[in-house]
Amino acid sequence: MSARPSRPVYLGPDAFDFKTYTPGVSGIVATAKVPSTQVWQVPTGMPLVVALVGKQTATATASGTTSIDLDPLAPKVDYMDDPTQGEYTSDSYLVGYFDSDADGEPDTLITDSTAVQYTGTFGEDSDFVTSVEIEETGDTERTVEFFAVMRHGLTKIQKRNSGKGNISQELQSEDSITWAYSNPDAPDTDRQITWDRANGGLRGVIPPKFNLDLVFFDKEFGTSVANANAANVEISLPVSQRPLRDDESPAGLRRKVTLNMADPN
Amino acid sequence: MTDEALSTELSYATVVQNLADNPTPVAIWDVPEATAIRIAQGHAAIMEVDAAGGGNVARSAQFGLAYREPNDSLDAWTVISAFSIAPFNTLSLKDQQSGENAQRRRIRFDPERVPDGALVLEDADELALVANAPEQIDETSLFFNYPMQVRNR
Repeated sequence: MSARPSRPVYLGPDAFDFKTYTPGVSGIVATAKVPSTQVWQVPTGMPLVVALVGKQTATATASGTTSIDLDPLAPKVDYMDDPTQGEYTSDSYLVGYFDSDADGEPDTLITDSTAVQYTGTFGEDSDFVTSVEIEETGDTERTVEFFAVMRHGLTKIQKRNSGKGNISQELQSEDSITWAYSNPDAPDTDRQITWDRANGGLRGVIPPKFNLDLVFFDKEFGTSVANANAANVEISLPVSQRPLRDDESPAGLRRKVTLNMADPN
Repeated sequence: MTDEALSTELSYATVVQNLADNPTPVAIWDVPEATAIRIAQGHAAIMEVDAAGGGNVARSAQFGLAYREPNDSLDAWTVISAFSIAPFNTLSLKDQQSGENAQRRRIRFDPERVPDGALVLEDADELALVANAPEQIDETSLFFNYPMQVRNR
């Protein structure tokens, strides 16, 4: 029982609770909680994937084509579907929705055969998509929303204790653009972002009921990860999970880790 | 010590427009209270910037890192490294993140001003990315990223 080995667990978007974000402050946008009987340890060197998305709203003019300039631009992310290649899925780096029933909620995915459809024309500037052309085939002006992978800002991973005295410690921090252009499938390129070796030892231990947060900051643009349509958020954080040992108490482990976090590096 | 990135996206980064034909800062990092940052030479920088009005910045443009101590006069920036825009103009942001073509983008510090190749900036010091270009840059397009270490005091 006490010798049960650890096993790798991949924290995907399902493992996280998403929160709304206001530009200009550094805020927690996603939180995963360690189960009360388990301990997480950061497996240093394992590849990480984090691609948060931001929302842009536009209007498609009735029965005609509209070209929509994206602001911010959408980075072409290697490991996601590519709409410029005709991959109009809800899992691409740029996903569009339109309001199909005039209820004010753009919630129908735009493809090349919907009432609002892609014409296949995209403005591109090296590794970014700068504009999208869509066509409204009916006779109704429609609201459209685009969810593009975040280009701006910083995205950090931190661990945070639960309960009183909210102490957090940063585990890893990168520019959002570096996260977007990371390539988890190619270890020989240095575009792969891996768990930093500094997270070995006690620093990489996340005890029961602790939180693992994604913290976002940008002065101007917000993420919309909490939006129900933001299905193209990509997160894959590997942790190695093991049950508590017989001689460990959750409270004791939490106290030990919290004291270590309070120590300034 | 935490590894972080000295980036124009940081909350304590201020991005401004330069003056044409005049060496002036385009990004200023005001080191926050109770913090020290350490930058060392030898890493590859990642940068993207357009000229005001669009298009690439002229090839004659020079960029550099510079610091200013609290009581120095406002324009007294000590330049510690200078590099050319060319390798950044030719590569997209994505290509710059691969190490294969990093050689031309490695930052070297002036050995007379930074003798041991690493610089520690304390609380209230300022670090800047300075530009000496024949034209103005579009400050909203500026992106700069360089590895640094952060220490809390």
